[in-house]
Amino acid sequence: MQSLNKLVEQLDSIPIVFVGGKGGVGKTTTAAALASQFAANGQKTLIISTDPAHSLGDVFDVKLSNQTTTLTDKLDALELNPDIIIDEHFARVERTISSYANPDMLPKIKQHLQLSKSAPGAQEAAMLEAICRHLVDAVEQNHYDHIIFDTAPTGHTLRLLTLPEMMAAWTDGLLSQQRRQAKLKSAADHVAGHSHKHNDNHQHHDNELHQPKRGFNNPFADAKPVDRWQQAVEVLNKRKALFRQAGELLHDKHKTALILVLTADNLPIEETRRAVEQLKQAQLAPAALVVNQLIQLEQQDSFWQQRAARQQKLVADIEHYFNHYPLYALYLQQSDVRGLSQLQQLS
Amino acid sequence: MDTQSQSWWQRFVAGLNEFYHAPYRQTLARAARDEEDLFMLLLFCESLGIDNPASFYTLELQPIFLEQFHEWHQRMGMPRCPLQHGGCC
Repeated sequence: MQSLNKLVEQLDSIPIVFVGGKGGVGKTTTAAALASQFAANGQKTLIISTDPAHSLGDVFDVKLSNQTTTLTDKLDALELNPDIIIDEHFARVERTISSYANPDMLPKIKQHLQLSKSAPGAQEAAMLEAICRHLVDAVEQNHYDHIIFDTAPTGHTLRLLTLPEMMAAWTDGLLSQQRRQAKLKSAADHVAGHSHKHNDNHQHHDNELHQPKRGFNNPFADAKPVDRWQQAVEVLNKRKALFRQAGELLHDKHKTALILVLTADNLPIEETRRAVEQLKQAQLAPAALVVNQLIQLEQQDSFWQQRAARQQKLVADIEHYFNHYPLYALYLQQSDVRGLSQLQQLS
Repeated sequence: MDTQSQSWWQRFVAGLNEFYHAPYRQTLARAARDEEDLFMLLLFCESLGIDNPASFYTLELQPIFLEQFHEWHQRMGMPRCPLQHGGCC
């Protein structure tokens, strides 16, 4: 097992880093230590906490918020606030909808949205969109050398990681379904042998309706009601593109590294084995594993000596189970790791 | 169309045409409606208590389909609106 600064070297050119693992194994500390050490090496780094129960601010000993906080000239930190994010998300949806919804229906639709907001899963959905936006922006704007996500516990994180693909599959299905339907509708209209000016649910590229053919689309030609379906689909397509980009970034070994943190204990080892398995199902693999809270083998005290001996056995297990992945060791500290200078020295 | 200006022959041909096309039109319209019914279910399943994380990403489509929601839930054998709030009846 190597020390943490070797991991910093391994991740030197990787822009996106996710740090996952069971609760209590030191994910946040590991993520914060990585971020601090990247920054100390002169690489501009942003660390984002997505866990609803934030502890990132505690580790840095700084009050953080949903707005980017500058810690040093090379290090920024951000705690995604689910409440703010979900409010913004639904406000955006409402704005979009208001531009094309039937005015009589609007109060009902708003009521309906209000209810959707508190549905289980809404928060997760809004969060995921925010995470993907950060991911894609980070790579496109090239503002940071590294962007590190201190993620929520494993299972949840993995669902978040695989959701973009599911989402894309789902919206694709939805849209092609709608397209087929538009075709059927227009076929029915054709057979009817007379034209309906009723083309609400139409995509312009399979617009087979009998509209007077114009040589080109003149936006000022006549004030036709805007095609509502088209407007909604545009929003959906943008979202789909965002998820697809994020998904591609996640699966690109040169762009994203997934780091799993565990301790030399039975439960975290089992959990990590499961996590690796789940990652495999999503065609992903951890770039490295960090084994935290290790103690030195030579102890004065017989109690600690026994603990150290037991830990050695478990470390052997870890090396056996995870021999495909680079392993890094972090030793148990005398006191809690707090603040930048301690994080930079953690190795 | 002004029927007076049409010859009886034209009307006869139109009638034949109609006789030929009507069953097809009905079949196609029914297929379109069945597709739309499924689409409706996919859109609103989260509101109906069926877990579907993707529902939150298609909220923008709801206003367009909410207008036909009343006919839909009645067709689906739900006489009362299944949505708790913002429903239709």
